[in-house]
Amino acid sequence: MFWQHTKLQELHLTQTQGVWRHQIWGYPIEDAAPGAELWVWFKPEVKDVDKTWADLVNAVSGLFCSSLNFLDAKSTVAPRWSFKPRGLTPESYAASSDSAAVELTQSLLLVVDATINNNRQQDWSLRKVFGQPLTSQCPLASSSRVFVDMTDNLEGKKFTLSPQPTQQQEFLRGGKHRQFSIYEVGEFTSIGKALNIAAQHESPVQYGMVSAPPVYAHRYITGYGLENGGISCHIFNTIDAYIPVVYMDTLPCLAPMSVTKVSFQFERAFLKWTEYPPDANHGFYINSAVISTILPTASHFTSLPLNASTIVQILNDSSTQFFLRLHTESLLVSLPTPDFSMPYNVICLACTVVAVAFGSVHNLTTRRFVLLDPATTKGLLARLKGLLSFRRKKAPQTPASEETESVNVKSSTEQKETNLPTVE
Amino acid sequence: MAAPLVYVTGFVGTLLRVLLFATDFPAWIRSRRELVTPITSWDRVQEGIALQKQRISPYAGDLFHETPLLLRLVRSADCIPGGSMTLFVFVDIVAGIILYKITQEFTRYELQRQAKEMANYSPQSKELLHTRKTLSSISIAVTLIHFLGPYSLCACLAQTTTVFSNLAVLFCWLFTLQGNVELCCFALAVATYQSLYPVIFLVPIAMHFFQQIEPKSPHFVSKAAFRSYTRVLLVFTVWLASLLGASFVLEGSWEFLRATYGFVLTVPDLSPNVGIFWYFFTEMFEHFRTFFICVFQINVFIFAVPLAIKLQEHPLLQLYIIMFEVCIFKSYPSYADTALALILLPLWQHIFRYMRNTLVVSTLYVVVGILAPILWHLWIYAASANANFYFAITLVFCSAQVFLIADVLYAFLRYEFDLLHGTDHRLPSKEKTRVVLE
Repeated sequence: MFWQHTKLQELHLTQTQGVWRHQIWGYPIEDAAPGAELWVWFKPEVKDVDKTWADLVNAVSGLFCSSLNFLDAKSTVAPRWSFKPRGLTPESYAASSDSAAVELTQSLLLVVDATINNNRQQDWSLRKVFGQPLTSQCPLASSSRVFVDMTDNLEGKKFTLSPQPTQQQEFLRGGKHRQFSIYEVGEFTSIGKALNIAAQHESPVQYGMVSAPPVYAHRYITGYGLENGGISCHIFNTIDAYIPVVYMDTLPCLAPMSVTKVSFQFERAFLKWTEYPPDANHGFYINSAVISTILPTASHFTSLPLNASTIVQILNDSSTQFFLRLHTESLLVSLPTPDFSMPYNVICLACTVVAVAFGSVHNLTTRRFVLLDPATTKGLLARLKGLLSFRRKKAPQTPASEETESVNVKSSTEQKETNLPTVE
Repeated sequence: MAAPLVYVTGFVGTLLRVLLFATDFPAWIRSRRELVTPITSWDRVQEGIALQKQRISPYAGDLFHETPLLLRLVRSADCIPGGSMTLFVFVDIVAGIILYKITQEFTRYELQRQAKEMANYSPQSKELLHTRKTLSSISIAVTLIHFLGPYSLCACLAQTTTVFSNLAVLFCWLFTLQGNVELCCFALAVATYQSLYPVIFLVPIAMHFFQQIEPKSPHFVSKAAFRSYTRVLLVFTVWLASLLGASFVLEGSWEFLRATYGFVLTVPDLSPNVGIFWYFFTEMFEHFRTFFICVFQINVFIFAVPLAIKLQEHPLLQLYIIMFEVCIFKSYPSYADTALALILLPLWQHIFRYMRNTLVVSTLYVVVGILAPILWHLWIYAASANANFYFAITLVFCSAQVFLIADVLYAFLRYEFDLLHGTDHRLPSKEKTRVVLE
């Protein structure tokens, strides 16, 4: 319902734990930012995007039981280049915006190092990795498949799968061959059998160097202390071709076999005490940078193209351009914090200084200088002085001026009754 | 007489600046929060220049808070050899020359006033009177503090844009002393245009010009007085309006008002400085924020009222005290403002003998100068102190300045009392007695 209410064209929500290491693992099927990322295309009729966005994040936040409502203007951007609507060319975008069809894609991405988890045994099975085999397929699904990438098998790292896959399929993408074994989950589970796919290696595998993917990035914080700092992002191009990339909204050109370094300085801000998060000293997260580019090669590329929804659709992908969107590491920046425990003290002390300034000017401008005449001064001052008994003790010893003497004489007579012992 | 020493000081000061610009010292000093505020930071000005070169409005973000005319002035400094450093050294030399002229004019003004008032003075106050000899040391002291004093030296090396508004204020002093209403109002308009607070200097300046017109016991609340005030106000308004209008024409929008004066008045940036605003509003409860911002801003201007009443015969001292209060209580103060206040302090050297807190105040200045960078390091880099440490040292600095200016006011009033009643205080009964505030 909120779908119609908020006039959405497209909504992508990813929630991630950990970081995807592009350099080592290649590209994931669905690239996601560390933490949570929500990106949305609104329909053109939305006038006040900011307000609609606020409504939307609160609705999504409720639906997914997450604190996405913190995605306010401070952590939101409106990128011009980096994000494109999926499956729609700009021409068809306006035309199909009225259609009521909704496509829902849900993906779960998991990285498991089976060898380490299995006491260095390279053989793996679904039961070993996930604790249990597949016992059923989703009742609503018309097709439920497991793909096992067998490409390495062609290169001599032999392993055999059990049970036998439903079919073997060769993918040709951008001139690169990939070999997949495909299991139709329904075929196995419908006859009451659990599907526990297992791989058995003929001999121990020596893992070799894995070539890095065509484009990847590494981002980090520079500097020390809480005053200034910087962010550096190295964008690596490992192939022999120029690749234009979109780094959020700047456009460096990646030269062949090169590293492009994007770095900028920042000055840490001093916030109000109410603007800090509950754990202020933990620091503030900085969203991952987004690198968008079109690769000329499909090496390491496993993502779905913009116009496909399932892997089968890309069996024979003859395209020569592959749109890639990478998320770099998100960063944690600590900011200088005030002392949260003493707002009252600070307010009192600062006001005291103001009061001292105001008070002394007030004092000097509203009073005037006069000669002190002890004969006429019978006021508070003399009485106060009289109260200070030490003055009276001192008075006879010091060859004081006439003024102090007379004050003391007068006050001692006044105070005789109250302070008898001292006088004696 | 004093001139050769002044020239030598000026030469040494200029040489020192040029030499220090060749070292790493300016780069370090440019990051000092005591000297550089978000408004006057040279780094931010460069950011503004870079944005302007890209044809992006420098006020589009929230980084740049200087005025459009100043931006164009410092941008044109690229054309001169040595660039901005030459500009800053040049500004300091001009300020030095203006200061020398101010002291000359001030000497003339004080001697004239003394001659006029002599009849009212007590015959026993001879030792308090100005002579050419006592006044001649002012110019040396002033130029010495300007060219070799640490505050003005560091302000120049840090390339804070405060030096430009300071220069405007100095021109304002000079033209006030020379009695030139139009130029004085222009200088004041430039200073106001640069940093907003000098607008309050209008009060003593208007009173001064009225005093010049009616030298014989003027009535400050009269038709003639208001006519004179209106004239000053009108000239000032015309100048200020033309400066703002020129900025509007150059920028093409009024956006700069929000980024400059809006920034000064609403204090959105709470990075530490030597003032009282930053930590106070960091720790302020949100629903009292607006109230206290109003209170603190009014506090800067409110001193003009009692001083205008009490010191109506002495508009120059009034101007000086208001200038000092502004430099303490403005929203983004720095050592560069203190530099201006301290440079002109020797003008009142005749009242120094009545000051009571000189030792305390001078010690506090030294302590703050040494401790502030240390406590900053402990808080920001070593993480062994927290914000309270730096706040404490800025409070000490504010207190020191408050003590100093209160002491100046006290000393002046006391000096005036002695001028009228003689230095030997006796009752009618010939008893010796003390002078107290009633």
